[in-house]
Amino acid sequence: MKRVIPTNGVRALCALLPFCLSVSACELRDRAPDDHFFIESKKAILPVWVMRNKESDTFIIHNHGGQGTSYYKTYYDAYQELREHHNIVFYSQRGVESSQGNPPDSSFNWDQFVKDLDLVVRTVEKRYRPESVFIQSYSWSAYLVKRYLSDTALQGKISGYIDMSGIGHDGKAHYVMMKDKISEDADDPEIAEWIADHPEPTLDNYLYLATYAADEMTPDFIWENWEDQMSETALHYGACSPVDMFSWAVNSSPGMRASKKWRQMNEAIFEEAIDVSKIHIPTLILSGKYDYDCNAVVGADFYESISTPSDQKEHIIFKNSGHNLDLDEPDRFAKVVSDFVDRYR
Amino acid sequence: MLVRTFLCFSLVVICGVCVQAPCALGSPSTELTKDATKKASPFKLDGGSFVHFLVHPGMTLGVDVPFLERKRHELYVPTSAVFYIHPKNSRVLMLNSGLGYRWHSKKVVFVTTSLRVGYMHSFVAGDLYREENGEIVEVRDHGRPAFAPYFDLGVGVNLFKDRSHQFSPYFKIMAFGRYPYNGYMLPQAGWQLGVIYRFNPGKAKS
Repeated sequence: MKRVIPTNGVRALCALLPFCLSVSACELRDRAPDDHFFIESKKAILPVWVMRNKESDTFIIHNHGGQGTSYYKTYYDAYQELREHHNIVFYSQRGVESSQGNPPDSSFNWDQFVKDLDLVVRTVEKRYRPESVFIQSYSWSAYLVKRYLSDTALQGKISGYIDMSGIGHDGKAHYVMMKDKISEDADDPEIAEWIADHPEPTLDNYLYLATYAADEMTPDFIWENWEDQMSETALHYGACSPVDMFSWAVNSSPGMRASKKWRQMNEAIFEEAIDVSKIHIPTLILSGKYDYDCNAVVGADFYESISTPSDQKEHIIFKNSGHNLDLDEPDRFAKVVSDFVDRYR
Repeated sequence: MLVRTFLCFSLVVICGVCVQAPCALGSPSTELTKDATKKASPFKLDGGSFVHFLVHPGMTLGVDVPFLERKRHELYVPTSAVFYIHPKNSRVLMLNSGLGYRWHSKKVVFVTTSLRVGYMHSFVAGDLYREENGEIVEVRDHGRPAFAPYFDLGVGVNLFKDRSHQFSPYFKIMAFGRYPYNGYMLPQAGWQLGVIYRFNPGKAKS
């Protein structure tokens, strides 16, 4: 019978082709971090990605938002610009994004998250011997970092703090400030009525208000910025990144957000105010004018509450930004952060 | 590291083929089949690429042991070893076995599916640190075990209608799980381009 299959060599090449294509596809990540490692902590495996600048001895450790993404931000122009001057460290918190392992639900508490952050700081110190380490928080993780810095011994390891669109150190006060700001700015009698009916500073009231504000009060140009960035980087993030898409999808799903382990953490924000008067290191607070989740009024309150001398702290409001000011005004963000780090490293 | 791992795995696969081939060729096939397939070996090697998600490279090699073969239908026990790499995330080894079914069309196309249970062992793809006695130390990763149920569905081609040729290339998509993972079963998926290799193929029963 006529032979249909080609020679052995061609057969072998055909079998290897998918493998070769796979490898080359993953080599497209030109904006990707240069180094990575993992940290094991209380049954969780935290992935850490580092955008290296070998000419710099300064490291900025980025803490992502609530059940949010960290790796995605490595593609942002803002961090690509920052990388020209400093080293930037991204990591996934336990149970988030591409974090591995099987941590027990009981480990989802703020004390453990502070320990995890400290492990990241100490591992960066061990691996790179940096001259100085700065911490940047975004949104939800501001509560984590403020808690970390309120421990004087831990604060001593850090050269400066960058609070970007941070949640308040007191959840109840945060809710009161946000509802007042939304009442003032929203031209909507229905939400005014809802706010009047819901004065209690609870997690559920906050979540409702934050969702309303994101949907109804965020200007279109901010959503358009966000959508442009997503479409540009979705392929990289989806197919070629170290993030497991299935893990990311489950971990950031509404069901997981509502799960007991995350709810107990979010409720603690409303029950345990942090004494931020213990914070005295240089601090840069960044707020977006159109951020109705963690508005500038919250940033201003934090500015007033810390003990950092006034010449070592600054609160900057980005006039064309919402909650993601590293996305909305990347050049300005990179410049003010870089200048701050250069000043205090 | 990626290339080294691939070469090591390739070596394991080649050794596996060398060891299993004589066993399969010398197996007592006449006890399992009687008429037209009398001289055929009941074993089939099943191997190829195993691509996790869309592009994460890997390989698989397995043995199919049919226990019911008819002209159109085939029931078999598939057993496979899988290795894939999710760069900068993990390296995964998986062993599974279960029940497989193939339906052969009147022409050359066949549809294949299987449902299996498996064991997965995953290692982080990078340096691992942990705190020991108050110090941060780099440690060797011994990996994490997981239960891994597995399902696949694919189509393939019998190069001759009577299945007498040794090779049958196929394409499959797979869905599998990893439990425990952050307290739940992590769904996973991938695709596979492979080939079924028959030792000393006979002709299918009618």
